Order: sequence, then structure tokens, then C-alpha cells
Amino acid sequence: MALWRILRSQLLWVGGLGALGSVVWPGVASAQSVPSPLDPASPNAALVANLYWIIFWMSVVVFVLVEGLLIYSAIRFRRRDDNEVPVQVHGNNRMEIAWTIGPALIAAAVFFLSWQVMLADRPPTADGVSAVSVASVCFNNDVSPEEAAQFLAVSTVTIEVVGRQWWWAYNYLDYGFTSAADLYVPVGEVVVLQLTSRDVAHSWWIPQLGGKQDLYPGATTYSWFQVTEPGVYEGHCTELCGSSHAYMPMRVVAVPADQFDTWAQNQAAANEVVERDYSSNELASEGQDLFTSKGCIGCHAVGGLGAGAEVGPDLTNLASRQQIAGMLPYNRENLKSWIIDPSQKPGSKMPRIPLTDAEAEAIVEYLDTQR
Amino acid sequence: MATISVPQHSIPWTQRGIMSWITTVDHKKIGIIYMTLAFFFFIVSGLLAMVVRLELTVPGQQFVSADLYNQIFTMHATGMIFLFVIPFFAGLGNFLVPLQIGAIDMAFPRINALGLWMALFSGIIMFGGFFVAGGAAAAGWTSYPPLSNSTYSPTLGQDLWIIGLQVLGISSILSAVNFLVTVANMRAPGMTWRKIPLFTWSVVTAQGMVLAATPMLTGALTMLLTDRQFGTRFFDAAQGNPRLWQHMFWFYSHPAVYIMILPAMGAVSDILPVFSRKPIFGYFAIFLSTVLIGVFGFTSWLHHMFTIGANPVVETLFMATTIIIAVPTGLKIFNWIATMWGGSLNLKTPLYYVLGFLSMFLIGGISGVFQGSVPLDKQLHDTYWVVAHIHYVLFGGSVFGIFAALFYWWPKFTGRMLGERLGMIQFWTMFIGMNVTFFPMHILGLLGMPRRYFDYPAGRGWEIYNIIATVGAFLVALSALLFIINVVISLTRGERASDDPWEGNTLEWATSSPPPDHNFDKIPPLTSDRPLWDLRVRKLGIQTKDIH
Repeated sequence: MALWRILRSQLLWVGGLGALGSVVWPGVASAQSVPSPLDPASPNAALVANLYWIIFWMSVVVFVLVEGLLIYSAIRFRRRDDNEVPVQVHGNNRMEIAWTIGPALIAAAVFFLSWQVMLADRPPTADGVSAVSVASVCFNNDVSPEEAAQFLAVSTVTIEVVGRQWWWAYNYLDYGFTSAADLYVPVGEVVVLQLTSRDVAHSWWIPQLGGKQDLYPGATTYSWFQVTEPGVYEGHCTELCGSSHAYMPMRVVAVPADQFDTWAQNQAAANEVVERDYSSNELASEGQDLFTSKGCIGCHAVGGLGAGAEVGPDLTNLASRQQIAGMLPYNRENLKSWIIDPSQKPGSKMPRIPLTDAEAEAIVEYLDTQR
Repeated sequence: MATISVPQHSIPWTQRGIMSWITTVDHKKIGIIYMTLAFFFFIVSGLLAMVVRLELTVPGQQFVSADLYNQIFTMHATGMIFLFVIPFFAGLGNFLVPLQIGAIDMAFPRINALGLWMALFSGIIMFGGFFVAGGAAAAGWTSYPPLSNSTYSPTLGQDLWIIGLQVLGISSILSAVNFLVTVANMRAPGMTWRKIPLFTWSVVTAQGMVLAATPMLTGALTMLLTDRQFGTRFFDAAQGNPRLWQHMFWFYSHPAVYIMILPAMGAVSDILPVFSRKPIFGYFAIFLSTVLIGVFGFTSWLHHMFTIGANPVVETLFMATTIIIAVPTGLKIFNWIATMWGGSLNLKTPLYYVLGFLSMFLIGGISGVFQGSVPLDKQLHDTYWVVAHIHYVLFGGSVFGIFAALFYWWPKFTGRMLGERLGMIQFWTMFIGMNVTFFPMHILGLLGMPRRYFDYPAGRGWEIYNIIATVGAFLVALSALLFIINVVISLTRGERASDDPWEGNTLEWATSSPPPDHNFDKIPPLTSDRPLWDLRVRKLGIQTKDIH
């Protein structure tokens, strides 16, 4: 165990080469919104980024050596005289053994470093539980409920992530409410995701927060992260899931822990409210009525209104989300165009409901108050 | 050659003109039809790839709908893998293996013809999906359930894909048996195992893998078909397991990567000594690494599935069995360089393509090590990094190997040479084109762009690399066009080839170009793995200095 710790710290140290790497890396320097695994924002992702740069520099050495030998041979040994007959070398066992052992050592190093990262990829609050058993709980979908409970007990926030064609539902198990699209989490706390699907296979991937994890119907898989800085971390579904596979982004919104608590309590409280009082906003009030009378509540819940509906995403905090339907930036025009014509998303399961312009405006006004 | 002149009218109609090709059981004609067919699907699947690149040039939807896009990339991969690379090497092996071992034909000529025509019909069945309601298969060439089941892919195209691939699977198994029996039983007297040309060894290994792996795929396809049509629940989420398909699929499809690359490596191992005027450096090491790659190919399939949530102990084992493949591969590369070292390099087109193979396959091999690492693969899996990797392996490796083989053996196929100058221009267009197309995809993957996306958001730094990749794709398309022009010129007014235009080492160069129906009038003494070199040295009275 002690040896592993030392090696792991070495790994982090050698990973300082990442600083060198970022000189040649266009992604990290450029923009905040680039979801690159080499710009980590969670300890597990940081380990992997370090590992990447170590193997990258090993590769550069191998690449330069072999390509150099190739180019050198092609130039140096080109035929100069049509009659020349070179020395007929049929082989050399010693040299061949040498260049078997060389690559074998490199392969062993890659294996060992990667294995160390696998062992280290565990929530930091799980000290006292052996690395291997935590890792197995973290990654094994076939763990016993007791094992899972032991692991989940050390986590701070547990969220069930449900993949759907083509959106994400989030069940905040500790708080008893459901959300969608933007996943709010507290900064600095360990977040454990229980992943499952209701239809086809999907894959959860926020590159800055660690590796991807597939979701399957009828099974639960696990992932975790611990966001180090407040911010918005974006990702995309990475398992082909049908027509709108490209319109299934996910987003983690990391906020300070106290803000998160307030947000979560507000969301939980909204569940208690079935009909909101819109006495000061007649248009929104009309929209609320239309939301029921046009049948929207058959699929979508807004707080307590339409509670339990889960065919489509929960809309309780729709107006504070960044996107509509995973493809349009959130604003009133886009919301209206989406309500009028959901077929703009390929394969969309939302029906086109005939609405007059005024009715659409009213529903937009109503939804735009859901924060 | 001909000593007896046969009057035209006495040849039955089934053996004249086009009919002589359709009814043939001659391994050379079958080989040429296989390769022509494969090249046709290379062009078709390549055009599909051009649609993919055009659609991805800038964000937004421009040319094709999301559903059509899914069909296009599914059929691009299906066509390139199952109908281009694998049948091409079946054809090349068909033409060359009997010649290289001094045989008169394959062991089972009629089964050989059956396999060929089944391959053609499988292509028609799978691509026929484009002409039925609902379009072609759209669940990716990996076709994972539940997406590929009858609920989420109810189209006829998906069934056609399954049935076509089953037909192709049976065709592959038939020809694998044929190859193995041929090499085991049909070798000329004196052709000991130690003297078998390395290309033939690579075909033997690859066909052994086909025989061991393909039944798993055809079995899985049958299960998927019965799930779709007859209500079985093999891959059902509630009563079966969708991930079972992934295990079965990759148990075939990982070996398939080696089935597609080993014959290219074999061609390289035959071409390099000829163009270096040296023996292959370490015949036994190259042979052994070929077989080892073949064996290891069966022990590493789970590395395609590191994100399914498998037991980490199992993942660690598969990481080891994956990364270890770098060792025999590295051995090959160093042995190839050692073959060139101190040689007399005849820098003609075949050698250029071999050098292209070596330098590009190296990149694919290196990026493969990244993906072999479990933690890194969880980041790189299903991103454009993987697209870059497979294209450096399959384009940089297999396709450069295929063009090396085409330029090298073309005179033997046709009796004419391919244009050297045009071949050079094609080489550089293809070499630059593939790097411009596929290298930026590594960066796209590291910037978080997933594969199989028909549209992507702007403002993530992805645009510029997509534009570069599309420009490169046009260069690759141009290189394919240059090759077609070269072929047309060669066949109509190309320079006549001698029996042995490259100073070859192996038996196929001991007969005429193209060879007669019965292949050989006389087989030279099989003195070593380079019988023709030995013959030439003796005839010219050259004193060689040999170091063993």
C-alpha cells in the first residue's frame, strides 16, 4: 500500500509534464467552453490528464525514433548503382531480443501507470476503505446492495441519472425531487451518480469531470466526481442512441455548497405547489391553464403540476436552463418556436399541438417564470 | 505459351467472354473478381465518407438529415470493413497463395467460387437497404441493442444488414477452410513450412482467425435476428442482456482488425526484401510475431467495452492483454527497418506505399496504446480520437498495404505495369490527404467531440479541425481518382510487364505475367524462402556475403 501511495504521488509529480504539454496543446489555453479531458476540474479527471501527458511524451520519443530511422534508411540506403549487392543479413537474435524487451518495458510502464490511476480513481472521502474495493464498487455494475450502500454512505450527494431518447433526467435522491438538462451540484463535495436508461444505451461524459460511463436499461452503473471550481461543465452523449444522438448534451452547473442547498430546497419546495398564483400576471396565468388544457402535463411536470409525469423532461427550473431540447439556446423566441414545432429535433417524441400565436405566447410567458 | 490453337467456335459459350468470368473456378480469376468487387465498394463507401465530411465541415445541418446521416456512416464502415478490406485480402490471397506455394489452384475451387458470389450478394443485400422504405441500417456498424432491436430500429434495412452480414460470414468461413486446406495440402514438393512466403503465412494466420472468430459473429447476428423477428429475448434489457451482444460482437470484431491488417503486414514482409535486395531480417521473428498477434487478437476484445461498467479486475486483465500486443507489433516494425538497413533500396511506387504503411501504421499503433489504458480509454472512447486511430490503422495500415500490393503485383495480375509517375503523384496525394484528414481528429477527440454526430455546437474550437479534415478528404478522393486513371491507362496502353519486373523472390515471379491457367510449367528448386533470388545469384555468378 505504501508503495502505491509513493508511486501515486510520483505519478502526480511526473504529471507536471502536463505544463509542458499545454505548450503544444491548443485546447486548454483557448476557451472556457471547450469540454476537454486535458482541462480537468475534478481529481479523477486530473489523474487521467496527467497520465495522458506521461504517455504522450513517451509516444513522442518512440515516434521520433522510429520515423527518424525510417526516413534515415530511405535516404541513406537508396540504390545508387543498379548492380550493387548488399550484405545479406538474415537476422540477429540478440538485436531482436533487445527490441522485444524495449517495447515490452514501455508497455509494462504504460500498464503499471494506468493501473495506479485505476486504483487511485476513488472519492477522497472514502479513506479507510481499501482502494480496490472502492474502485470495484465505483465501476462494477454487479455489486451487492450492501457493498453499494457501504460506498454510497461516504458520498455527499447521490443523484440518479436517467438517460432517455434524447434528454437526461436527474433524480436528487437525497432531496426527493427531479430535474433535467442542467445538473446542479455543490462545489467541493463528492457527487455519486447512479446511471440507468429507460430505452437504449447512452453514455455519460463530462470530459473535465472524468471518464465516460455507459447507461443501460435494466442495470445501474456508477460514476463520481468532485468539482474543484464553480462553473458550467459541458459534455455530450457518447453512445449512439438514434436520430438525435447529437442533440443530447449534458451540463453540470457547479455552485458553492450553500447556494446548492438553497437551490435544492427551492426545487423540493416547488414540488408542493400545484397551481401557482399568477394574479399579477394574467398572461402567465392563462399559460398555466393552457399547459393543463392542451395536455402538456401528460408528459411534463412543472413543480407539483403534472407531478409524476416523466415522458418528457421536468420543467420546474426551465427558465434558468441554458438550452431547450438540447439544441436551442434558451430564450423566449426559441422556446416559442420549439412549442409550435418540436419536429425540428430529429425523431422528437413531442407531438405538434395546434396552438394559436396568442396561446403559444401565453405558454411561453408561463414557462419563462419557471426558475 | 499456347502450342495448340483451338478454334473459337469449339469453346462453349459458358467459357467465353464475360461468362468465362462468371462461371470460373480458377483462383486467379476469382481473386481478380474479389479485388474488383472490393474496389467497387471502396469507392461507394468512400463516397459515403465524403458526404459525412461535407456535412461536418461547419456546424448545423446542411446536406443530409440526421437519420440519413446515421445510415451513411453505418454503411460507410460496413462497406469499408466487410466489403472492401476483408474481401480485398481474400482476393489477393486467392490470387497469390496458390502461386506462392507452387500449387495449381485452391483445394476446393467450386467452394471458392461459391464464397465469392455469396460475398457479392451480401453486398447487394446490405446496400439494398438504401432502396427500401426506411432506408439502410442506421445503428452503426457495431449495431448495439437495444438501439438495433425491433423497437428502436424497426426498419427493413436493419434486417437486410443482419442477413447480408450472415451471408458474408458463411462466405468467409468457407474461404477460410479453403485457404487453410490449400496451404496444408497443396504445397509444391520441397515447399517446407520454413520456406512459405511471409505473405502466405499472414493469410494462413488471418484465415485461421476468420475460422475461429466468424462463427461468433454469425451466431450473434442470428440471435439479434430472432430477437427482432421471432420474439426471443437474448439482448432484451429485462430478460436478456444488451451487453451480451457487445461481448459477442467484439469477440469477432477485434480479431477482425488483425484479419484486416495481417495480410497488409504480410505484403510488406514480401515487398521490403525485394526492394531492399536483402532477405527479410528475422524470418522466424516476423512469422512468430504474426502468429502471436493472431493469438493475442482473441484475448483483448473487452478493451472496446471499458465504459460498460465491467469489473475493474477484468478491465485490468484486458488492459494487460491489449497493451502486450504492442510488443510483437514493435518487433515487426524494427525488423522491417532492419531489413532496409544497409540495403539497396529501389525507390519505386511499391516501396513508397510500404514506407507510407510503416510510418502511418506506427501512428495508429501508438494511439492504440493510449486506448489500451483503461483510465485514458474512458476519456477517449467514442470520440473523434478513436476515429483518428482506426483510420491510421485501417487507412494508414491496411489501405497503404493494399496499394503497395496492387502496385507490386499488378504486373502479375494483368501483364502490364501501372504508371510509375502517376503512382508517385497518387502516393503523395494520398499520404498528405490522409494526414490532413485524420490527424486533426485526434485533437477533436481531445477537445471532447464525440463520434457519430451529424451536427455539433459552434464555439468549442471544433470548427477549424473539421474544415481541415474535409479539405483532406477531397485530397484522398483525388488520389483514388488518380488510381482509377492509372488503371485505365495501364489496361489500355500500359507498358508490357516482364515475368519478373521487380526481381522478385517468391514463386509467383517464376511463371508468366499473367500466369497460365495451370500456373506453372516448371517450378524452380525451392532452395530457401527466396528461391528466385537464389536462382538469379547462381545464374549471374554473384558472390554474396551472407550473415545469419
